Amino acid sequence: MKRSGLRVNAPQVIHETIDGEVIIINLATGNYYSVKGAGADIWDVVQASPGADAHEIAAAVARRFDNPLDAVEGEIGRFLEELRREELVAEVDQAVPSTSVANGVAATDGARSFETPVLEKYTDMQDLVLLDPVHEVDAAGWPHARPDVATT
Amino acid sequence: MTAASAVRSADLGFGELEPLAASFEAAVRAASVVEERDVRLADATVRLRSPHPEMLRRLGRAFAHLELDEPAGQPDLTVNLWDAESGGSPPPLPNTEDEEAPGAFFYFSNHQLRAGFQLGTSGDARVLAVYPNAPTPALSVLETSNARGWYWVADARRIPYWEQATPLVYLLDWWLRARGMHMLHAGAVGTDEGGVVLVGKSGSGKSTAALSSLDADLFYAGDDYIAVSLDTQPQVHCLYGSGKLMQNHVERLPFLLDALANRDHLAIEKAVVYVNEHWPAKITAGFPLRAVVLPRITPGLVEARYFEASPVAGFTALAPSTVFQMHTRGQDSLVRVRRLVERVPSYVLELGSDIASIPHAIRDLIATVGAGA
Repeated sequence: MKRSGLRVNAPQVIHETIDGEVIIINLATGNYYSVKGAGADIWDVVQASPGADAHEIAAAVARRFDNPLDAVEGEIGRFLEELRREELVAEVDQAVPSTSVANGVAATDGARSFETPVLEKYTDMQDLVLLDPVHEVDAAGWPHARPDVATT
Repeated sequence: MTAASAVRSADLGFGELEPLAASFEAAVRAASVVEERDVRLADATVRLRSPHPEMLRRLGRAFAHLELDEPAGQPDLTVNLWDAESGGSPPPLPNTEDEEAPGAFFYFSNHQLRAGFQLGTSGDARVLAVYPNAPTPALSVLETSNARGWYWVADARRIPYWEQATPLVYLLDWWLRARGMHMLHAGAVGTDEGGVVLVGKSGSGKSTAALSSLDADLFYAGDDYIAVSLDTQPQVHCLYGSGKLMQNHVERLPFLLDALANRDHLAIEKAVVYVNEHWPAKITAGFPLRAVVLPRITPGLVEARYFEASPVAGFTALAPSTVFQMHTRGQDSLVRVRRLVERVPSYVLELGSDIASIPHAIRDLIATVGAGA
């Protein structure tokens, strides 16, 4: 598992949690996602601890469940890799010391058991993005003319 | 510079208000006239001004049911409408060199304004021969003061039918958000006591459900875009007096056939009906929102029926659709939708072959929610 820090891939990714379920929208691809259970915990740790690496995230998530780290770290790593493939998380450019990775509420009575996290993917909005691509331009890049284009 | 070439390079002065005003005032001077229409929109007064009477007519048609009998003293928002044919120079436009998709949208904001530019296509006859509905380039600007808006197109004759049916969507979305409201990609029907928003992606049946209310005892507040205030008791506000329906759904609502605005273009356009012209008594300015409703076309079912859904289901049906349709790219949009589905219940409305049963089911749902409120 690569030991590089991760962050939510904002601003192209927006997300909201409702009733314990996370809905994630990738504005660039038009895909959106649903994550529940352990997946929602993983997402929560990632978004609350930008710069934490996969091992630190797994350790924080494991503390929320009645499972030892070595029993869940592989599945958490695979889930993080899936998030990265879908461009929902990105590696931080420079490693950020994550001295206080969000722990949330640790399991106290074993009531929560870890289940394989699942990223449910919906693609039915893709056409809107493909047909109507959106470009958000900051003040430095637009409306100024590109250097290689003569301004008329 | 022609309107067609203007979008190929960045123009100095883009992002500034003075060139916009200069372009508009030049068009007014060239036309020697400016026409105005005042409408009451979402509890505020909006003035549409244009030196181009036909452009004003095209864009004002969907707002006609909200038009005031007397001019407003000082409108809350004034929107200036003009095109390259109106005279004067076009306003400064952005650099869009690397983009070709006609639907591409360029968004920009600074301390003075928010701007969105829809790339569209040139008016080249060869392009129009292949894409007869190719939209004209369009620039929407809202000043940060929230008091003035600007809407320029290259050629008002090529404002597409969907823009005429629901004009100024981006500009009004920004303006409404600044006023604590939220534009939703949704339909809405109800009674004076309360109503529902109908949510889902295009083709989900929300227009069928909304327009079926015209043949029943429900009021109509829109089928595509509506505004909601996010107070403790959310309120629906009607924006547009139009409706759009996929061509293959028109036959399910035969009473609409004689009212279609574009019956000769159904091969390439959605069916458009101006409800405010044909059923003016059925249009409402709004009502208290009682529920979020997710229409679902259900093969094999006859009579429409409903059942309660989770807030997550309501959120998932409403948020992605609104975000992608409105090009609203902020986390705040999701927060507002979450607040909405936490304040009112969500229901799935299964649509069967008996269209007349749809408004009855909605009416029953409203009564059920109202009784529990």
